[in-house]
Amino acid sequence: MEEVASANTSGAKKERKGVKAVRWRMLLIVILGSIALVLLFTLSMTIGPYDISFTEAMEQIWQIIITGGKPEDMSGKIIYNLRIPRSIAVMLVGAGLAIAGAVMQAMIHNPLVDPYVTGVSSGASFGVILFTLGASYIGSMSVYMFAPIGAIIGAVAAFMITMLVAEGAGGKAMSYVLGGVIVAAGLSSGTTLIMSLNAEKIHSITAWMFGSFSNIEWQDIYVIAIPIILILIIILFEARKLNVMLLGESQAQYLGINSRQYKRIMLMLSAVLTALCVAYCGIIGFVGLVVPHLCRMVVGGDHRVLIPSSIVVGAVVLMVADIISKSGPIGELPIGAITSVVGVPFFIYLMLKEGKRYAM
Amino acid sequence: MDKKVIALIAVVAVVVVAVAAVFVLNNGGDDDSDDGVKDAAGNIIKPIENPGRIATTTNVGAELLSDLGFMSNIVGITSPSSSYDVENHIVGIDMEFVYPGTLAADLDSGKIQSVGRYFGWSAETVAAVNPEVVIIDYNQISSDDSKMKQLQSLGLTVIVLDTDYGFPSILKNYTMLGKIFKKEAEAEKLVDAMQKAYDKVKEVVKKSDLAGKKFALISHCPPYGDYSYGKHAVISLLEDCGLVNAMPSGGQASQSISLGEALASANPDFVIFEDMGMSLIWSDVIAGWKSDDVMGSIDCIKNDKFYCLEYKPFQSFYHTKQAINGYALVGAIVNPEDTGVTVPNIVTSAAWTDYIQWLDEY
Repeated sequence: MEEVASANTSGAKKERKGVKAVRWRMLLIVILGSIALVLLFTLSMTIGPYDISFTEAMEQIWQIIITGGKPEDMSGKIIYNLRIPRSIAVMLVGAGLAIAGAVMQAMIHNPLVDPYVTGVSSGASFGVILFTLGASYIGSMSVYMFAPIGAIIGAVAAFMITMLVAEGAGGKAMSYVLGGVIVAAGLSSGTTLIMSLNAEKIHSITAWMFGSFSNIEWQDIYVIAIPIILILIIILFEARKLNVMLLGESQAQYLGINSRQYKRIMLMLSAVLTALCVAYCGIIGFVGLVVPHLCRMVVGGDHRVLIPSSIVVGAVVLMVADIISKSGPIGELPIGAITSVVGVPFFIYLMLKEGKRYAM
Repeated sequence: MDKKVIALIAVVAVVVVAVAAVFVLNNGGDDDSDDGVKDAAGNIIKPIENPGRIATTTNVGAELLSDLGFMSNIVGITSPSSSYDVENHIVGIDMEFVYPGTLAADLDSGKIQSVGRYFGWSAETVAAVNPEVVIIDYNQISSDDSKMKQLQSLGLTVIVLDTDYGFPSILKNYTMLGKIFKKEAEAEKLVDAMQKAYDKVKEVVKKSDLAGKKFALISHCPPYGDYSYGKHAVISLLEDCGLVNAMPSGGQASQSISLGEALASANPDFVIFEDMGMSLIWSDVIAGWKSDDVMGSIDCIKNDKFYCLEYKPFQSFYHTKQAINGYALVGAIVNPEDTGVTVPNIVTSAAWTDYIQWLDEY
């Protein structure tokens, strides 16, 4: 008995040590990630077609602070009006897509899903194109009005269709991937149809769909920042329940969660989050897939540590991609292409490693 | 109601309120703007006597600026430099023009900086050339005005050119820029000269045997497909003269067609083809049509009532005075008798200007 008690005590101690170690790792990631974000943010202020040196950037940031956002020099105006809102958008979108991916993976019990793979991003972009073209037909050029509304409607509708198809096919993990592929293909055809009926706008639609932060303005930030931050906070508070959902729907039901309803609500929330991320910068794939997995490799699957880590790492990853896209020798590269260059091989690796476990 | 649902509704409500707030803030404080010139985007521009450094994201802007005497003010233009390989002489207008001058060479050498391609520029690439004034096309911001607003947030004066199809839009841009840059007299002189030349072409087209007949303007781009134009400078001229577009595209700029079937069904009296700069070997294409059962049976193909334009003649329809050269070509196509010019089935880039000189003597 004493041996059992001792074994239990040492087992509990080991567990507590393990939990502490994970928490320290998360803290490390969050601290290092935050430092990396500050450094990347600063670097981002100095990168772009308009030449601004590091010292000049620091001077202008100081000018921006003391003049309350009204610097006199062109470099200050560029930093305040173009580069700062852009960097803020990149961080918000990076964090948002990463968390949307993490939530989808938890709810669907499938490590291969993210907003891009499930067709949610395609739905959001279809909604944006439909609404903004419609707006231009009624004479309004103001994308900020119609883009987020179109994105939310498109994203939620796309996910509902994916969910219906996947649940209809048995609700197995791979069904969501296949359902997402079907929905994305359908929406892609829809987008092509719209483009064929709006030949003169083909170029701007195509360029937008590749993903770009170059058109971000402060008013776009005003629209998306609060909802994205609100949703991230909600999901942070839901981390414990996300862990419970990992045990399975029936187990979660026993533990007092209305698992079906909870799953639907969380997936809708992640669709809305994705929509807000897509609304102004187009489709950026694989961030929601790669980032949660990278974090799981370090901190494990406990959402209480995974979510904060993914927020920071998602922001860092997209900041790096954006800096690369801005540094192209022949002009700006589409950021969606850059994330795909990393995401596609990672997705193949995941499929090969995890695919058999999640087959239909 | 479940807390999660409340949270979801709250998020959507925040988005809607934020959008509404930004809309109200942006539209509540219109400037007092009765003493300025309205551009194509509704911006009211106060007249500028000495515009200083000017960047333009469209070669149309570069030409308009040059015509009004501001070529030396240009510090940034779009690439590629081949866009500036256009005619210096405009038929039917007895005036000397500077444009394109050395713009292409200056762009290639870096003396004038590139702001990017027509749809590939950003507010930063434009700001990088340190302009005071920026001229852009309405087409570049028609579905999303973010770039215009970004430029304006940098304190730059942005002037948006009208891009409606049709000759009046060209005149409108000259008049507008003339007012903005206080060059009304120069603009008026050029507008009058252009109007006279256009009226001569109209007269010639209206007098032709093809007046009131049907035409088609088609883009032939194998393997990508064929497109009939619904909107183009050629179409606006011909429709202005009473001809009928046999293949309209439902209000769109163009629509995809199955060439043989569409032509057989529309049966136009003559067709103008272009190849989207794909450098088709038109003689081979024509030989293929003649030997094809369907295409070879269509009247306009059978009777050689078609004209295949290479790159330069089709590109002559820039939204500037250059369009007059293009109109002169159409005039010669439609009325060989009064112009004294027989335009061949293939209008080459090398020889196309031979067919427009008639307007100088008319």
